[in-house]
Amino acid sequence: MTIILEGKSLTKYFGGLPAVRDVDFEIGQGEIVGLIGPNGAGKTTLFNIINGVLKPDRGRVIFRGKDITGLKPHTVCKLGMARTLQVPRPFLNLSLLENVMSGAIFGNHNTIARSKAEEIAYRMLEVVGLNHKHYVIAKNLTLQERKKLELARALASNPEIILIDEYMGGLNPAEVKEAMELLQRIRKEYKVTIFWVEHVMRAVMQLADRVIVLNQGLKLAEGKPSEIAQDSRVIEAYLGGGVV
Amino acid sequence: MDKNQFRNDTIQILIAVVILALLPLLFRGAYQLRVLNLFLLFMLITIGFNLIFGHTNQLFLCQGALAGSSMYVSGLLALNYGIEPWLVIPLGTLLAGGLAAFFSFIAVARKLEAIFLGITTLSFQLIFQNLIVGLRDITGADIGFIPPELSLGPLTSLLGRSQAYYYLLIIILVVTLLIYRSVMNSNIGLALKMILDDEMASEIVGVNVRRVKITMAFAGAMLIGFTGALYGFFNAYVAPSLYEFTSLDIIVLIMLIFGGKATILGPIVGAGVFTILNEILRPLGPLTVLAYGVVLMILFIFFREGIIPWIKNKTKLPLI
Ligand SMILES: Nc1ncnc2c1ncn2[C@@H]1O[C@H](COP(=O)(O)OP(=O)(O)OP(=O)(O)O)[C@@H](O)[C@H]1O
Ligand SMILES: [Mg+2]
Repeated sequence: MTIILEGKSLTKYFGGLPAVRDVDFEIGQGEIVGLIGPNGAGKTTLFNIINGVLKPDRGRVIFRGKDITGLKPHTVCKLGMARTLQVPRPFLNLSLLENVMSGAIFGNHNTIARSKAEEIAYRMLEVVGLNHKHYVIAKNLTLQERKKLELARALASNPEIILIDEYMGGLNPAEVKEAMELLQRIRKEYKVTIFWVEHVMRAVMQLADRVIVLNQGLKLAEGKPSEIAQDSRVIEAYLGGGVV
Repeated sequence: MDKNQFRNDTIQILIAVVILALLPLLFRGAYQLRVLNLFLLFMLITIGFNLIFGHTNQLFLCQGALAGSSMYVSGLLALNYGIEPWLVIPLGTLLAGGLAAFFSFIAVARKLEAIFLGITTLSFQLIFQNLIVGLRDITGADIGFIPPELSLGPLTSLLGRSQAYYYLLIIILVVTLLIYRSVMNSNIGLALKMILDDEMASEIVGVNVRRVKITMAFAGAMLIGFTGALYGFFNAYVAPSLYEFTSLDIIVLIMLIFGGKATILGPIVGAGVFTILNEILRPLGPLTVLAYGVVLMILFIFFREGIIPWIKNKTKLPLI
């Protein structure tokens, strides 16, 4: 399996306190890798380091064989890494269509024509299940719809990998199932690798090929979901069980 | 959708320009024509300021210094070396653009928040004012200087000086609005809307936010610098009082806030209302500044959205 994304001893301090410490990881092409850990473990910070929102104090990020440490997010995006945020941030005053077009127009490595961007936007809105809302202004969406919109916007940039920061919080079981099918479909149809932070363990354990566990900024464990579920250190980190 | 937008824009810009072009037929007096010229000059400076502050939230408080640097450089070069003014105005214009790009670069590189950029640029405004007075031998300090006449060719003999200036400004306005409109309907326009909404999200989806901001500062300041130079040449007398914070910056700020940031019509309406008010308040002398301070506070506290967005909200008219 080809390694598409690699982190080497990534470290980030906030005011003297480490949020991420010496984290190493490798993501293979086409994998779905879950990133889990208790609140404040450093998951979002790790994502911020990977796509250039934050500069690591130490360590390197290698993406498709290229050292991208310290590059700006807009460059990283154009290199093929899309991202959705824990608290979704669609462009609130733009229509859904414009939101997704923005990803297609600016996120792609090469500039693409507007008509083509519009075509992509229609398709992606359909993929995430927001069709028939093209001209709605994004501020009228619910939280879940905003998450979907952000995912569509990320997909529109035709990425090699997507960093998804929580997608299933607050969903009912049927919706979780639907969301899982969506992520699977994205990987299969669009050949996108997925690195995915999630608190809904049931979904992670079923969907992820591998799981990385962070705790207090350190990588605590890594392995197949079944292994992770058995890992005593992981269970302890989650305060005595309830992981699965 | 784009086609409708295009027609909508064209109609509104056309209406605005036709009204403006007819004004000198109604107001023919020398004083009235002078006020009309001020109206267009301030409108153009406000449009330039809108590109910087309205569209990218960069609070520049040195419009006067940008306009003034352009005028002093081009005016003094023309005066002292006998160079044709039209040849040196582009230099002043580029200087203004360069200065603004520099401040914008510092702001994005140092991640200055709007308020710190405001303080930095306001300091520059004060330095400029001091420098003009300090460099007495070159600038004539408070006494100022008389720049060479700006020739408008046959237009002057045809219409008279004031009207010739007015219609030259109309032409500049039309060109500005057409470029403005086409930029807003391009990908850059989309990027600008995205940046106004959420800078971090724009960056994450691939927009080079720094570059857009610096470019807008450069473009907006070029317009301010160009217009600022015309202001000095038209005035036929250049003194620091033309470009002081209290005589230019604050008025432009009010015109934009009142008219509506990030709109095309806002600066036009804002400049119209406050040019008239400025004339009404003129007898108050130094108290005008006080009046403007109060107006600005009221606008910032109660009417930040501006008249064009307000009307747009109330009437659902697709104003631009
Ligand atoms: N910008 C910041 N400034 C200071 N401290 C921060 C900042 N961002 C995160 N932190 C701290 O770093 C630690 C890791 O936070 P992070 O958001 O990465 O955790 P997380 O694993 O994503 O948590 P959650 O599951 O709640 O989203 C926390 O202690 C947090 O308070
Ligand atoms: Mg988080």
